[in-house]
Amino acid sequence: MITLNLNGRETEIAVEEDTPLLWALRDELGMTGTKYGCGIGACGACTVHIDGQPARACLTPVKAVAGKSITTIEGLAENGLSVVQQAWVDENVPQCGYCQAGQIMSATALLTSNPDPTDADIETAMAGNICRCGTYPRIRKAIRVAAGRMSHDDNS
Amino acid sequence: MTTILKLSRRDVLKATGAVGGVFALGVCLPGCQSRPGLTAATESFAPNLFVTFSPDGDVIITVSRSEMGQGVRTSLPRIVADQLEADIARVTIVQAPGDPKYGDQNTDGSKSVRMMFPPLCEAGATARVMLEQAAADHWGVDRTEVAANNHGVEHKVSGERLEFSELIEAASRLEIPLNARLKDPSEYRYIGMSAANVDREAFVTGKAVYGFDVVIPGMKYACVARAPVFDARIKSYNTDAAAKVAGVSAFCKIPFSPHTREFFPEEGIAVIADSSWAAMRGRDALEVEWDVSANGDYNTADYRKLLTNSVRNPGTAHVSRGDVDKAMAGAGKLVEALYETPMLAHAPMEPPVATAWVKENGDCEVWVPAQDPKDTRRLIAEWLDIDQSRVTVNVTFLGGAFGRKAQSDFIFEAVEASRQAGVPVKLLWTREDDIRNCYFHAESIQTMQARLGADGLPTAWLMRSAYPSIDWMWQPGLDEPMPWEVGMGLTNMPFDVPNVSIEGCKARIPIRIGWLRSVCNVWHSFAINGFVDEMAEAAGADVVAYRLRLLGKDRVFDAPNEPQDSIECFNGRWVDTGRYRRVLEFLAGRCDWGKELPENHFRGLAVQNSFYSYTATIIEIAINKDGSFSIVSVDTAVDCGRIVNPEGVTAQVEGATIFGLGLALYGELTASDGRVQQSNFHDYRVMRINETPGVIRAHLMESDEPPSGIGEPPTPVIAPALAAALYAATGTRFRRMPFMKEWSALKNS
Ligand code: FES
Ligand code: FES
Repeated sequence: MITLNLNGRETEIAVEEDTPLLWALRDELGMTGTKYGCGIGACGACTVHIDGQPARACLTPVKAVAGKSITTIEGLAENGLSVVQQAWVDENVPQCGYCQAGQIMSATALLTSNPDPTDADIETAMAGNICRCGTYPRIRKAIRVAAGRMSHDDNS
Repeated sequence: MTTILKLSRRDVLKATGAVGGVFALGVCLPGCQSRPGLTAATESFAPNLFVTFSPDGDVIITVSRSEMGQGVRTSLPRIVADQLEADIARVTIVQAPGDPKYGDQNTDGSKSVRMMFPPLCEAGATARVMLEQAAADHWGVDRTEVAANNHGVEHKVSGERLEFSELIEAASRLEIPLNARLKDPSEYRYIGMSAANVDREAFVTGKAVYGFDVVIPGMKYACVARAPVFDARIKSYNTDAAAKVAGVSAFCKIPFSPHTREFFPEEGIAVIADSSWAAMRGRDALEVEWDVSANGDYNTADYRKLLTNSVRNPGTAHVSRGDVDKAMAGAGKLVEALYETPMLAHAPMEPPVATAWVKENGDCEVWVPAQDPKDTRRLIAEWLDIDQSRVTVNVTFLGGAFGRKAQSDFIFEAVEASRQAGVPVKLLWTREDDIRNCYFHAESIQTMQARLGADGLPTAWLMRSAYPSIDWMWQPGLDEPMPWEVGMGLTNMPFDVPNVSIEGCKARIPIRIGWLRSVCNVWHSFAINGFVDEMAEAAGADVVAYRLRLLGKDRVFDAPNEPQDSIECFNGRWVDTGRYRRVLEFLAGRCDWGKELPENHFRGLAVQNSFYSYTATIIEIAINKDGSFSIVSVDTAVDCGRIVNPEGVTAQVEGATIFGLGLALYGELTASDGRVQQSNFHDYRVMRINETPGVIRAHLMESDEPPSGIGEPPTPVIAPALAAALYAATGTRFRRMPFMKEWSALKNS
């Protein structure tokens, strides 16, 4: 039994402790917003936050997150949409949508640590997230929009 | 509200069972057959149900095509709603299950809007006319005095208005009119107006349910150890180690289906477990010895040699105009080139996955990301040897597909696992499974040869193309391209050349192959555009000016080898060289072709007609100080006929461009000993954000022509345009994909 804080709630997971967090979330907890794309850390579809840092849930055994705080796409906004999610909606980013939870988790982590990223910062932070539909131009734009809104909020 | 249901085949009223409190209206689809060889000629095309009113007047619109990122759930309902004069805010969208009553549901060939535009216009207009008639009857006036407007009907003279909700009961008692007047394009309110994707909130919150996300109470998970080589058979297997993996509960054999087996799966052993992870680990622990037979000899190097030899000899002539041999023997410059493209996999972000439940009574229900739910249903019934009426195919969101999920092998595996296990089973593929057991986009080799006349234009042009036919999946022994395949970019080429021979050359292949976004257009466009550039150079001409001369006078003609399903799904003309010319002129103008570029910047261009659309692309690259190159911009102009959703078309251009760049730069699979050597994104490289050009612009042309394809047409122009830019930069022709490999070879030489 592993205890962790999942999206603000104490949560117990009863799985083999080497089970990747990805599958514990999806199969045990029924939280299917976090996606499988490669299982080897090469696509970013499974990105979650562990104590605020972006991490690949497919490579993270649950034992490594005992006692830690995990945020998934389901926990990004208490009500409605986060600023990043809203920017994604406004820029009409998703095509098939499958990669977007991972993209949004990576982008959110980027903007949390770096509220005013340069283009190069965006490329570096997002290079691990594949979108086979090719929504990259809109992802870039949505990140800039979200960054602009966040800084505006801070100043107001 | 009374319970009334009308299902109609335009001229045949036919009641079928009752549905509570709805007024439903159906239309008949044109007889769109699936691809050749798949559909029995006797298949009937039953009436279809697209428009349903709920008692409060809201409209439920059924989408019968699968959503895989191309935005059909956004575009198709807007066609209906427009003709219906419905308020789009009061439209709910329902995803149709697999059912022959919807006609062709095979979501491929860039044909959703192209095929559905006429029947959906009619579905909306017919319902509107009935509502207008009901209002006219209510006021006791002639129908010409009333007009529907934004979810209600107004009396033009008195200004009185009745809401749809007040009219649906009366309307439902009316005869369904024939030839309801379609709105004039000048009256369109949604068609042609941009709309954001209707599902975007579900996508960004993780709430959209994909195939991978289906949960059925009591379900188990499964992963399959399947034939690593085409048609390999299980010699022996040992489950001891796998059985020890915690959570593994059972094993079941996926039986061998002899070729040809349509999309029935390879032989394999399914490991059934309590979780995805346990199923994967159990599968990895399974020991299987395979008998790989002769197919274990397949390898890429030898296959390339085979194709190269094949194009040395004449093939089957699909177009034979004039006397090529004689003209080729004449005087003038001879231009020759050979183009190569590699084996590829689709690698949609969501690998194949299916949840199936073969119930105690033998009925079967599946929840699947299927591109072709109707045909999947037929084949499940065949697999289980039950009537189709006992099979329900629910369609989830598809996490991308690009052609892979048009083949339902993964679904039959899930059905079989559930049948044997007696419980619902979610059967998932890992990325490794996806890459290794793909229905591959096969390798191709094309040779081009031309004799140029004194004016620099070819007097003779010989094209030979060798690649295996996808139809061999149904026709054993088939060993050359089929007419519909050479029809994707060769025999429908627009150039006016007096002596032409277009030949398909022998190529047998011992692997599973299938359709990948743009299919044969990818390699044909690469070869033709590359060769036109080479002829232009030999003629000392600019590539745009040369293409315009090569086109000759504007002509409209029916290409000889159109795929049957495409013909029936399109009511425009097949090749219109004037549209080809205009898309080229339009883009050349927009991008100021020929202008002076910044130092170390170079451009390339390509044009292609595919899926009845016309696409032109200009790619600009920069050679960096360190000697590497970057792609600065991609500008693509499209004429895809009337545009339903410009925003959706723009998104498709962007996505198809990036897909095309991935193929051009990196895409390559190789085989050795019958096995694909790559397995995941670390060795099967796809585009990432940091490699994506900063500028990708879609230039949409306005058109009154019938809507044509858009999901695929912007892809095949990318590789040749990039090859041309690389040539401008380096003086070396890039005739072999992928280019990064060629680039490294060039830099190291
Ligand atoms: S699934 Fe974890 S990085 Fe791809
Ligand atoms: S939106 Fe389809 S993979 Fe990114």
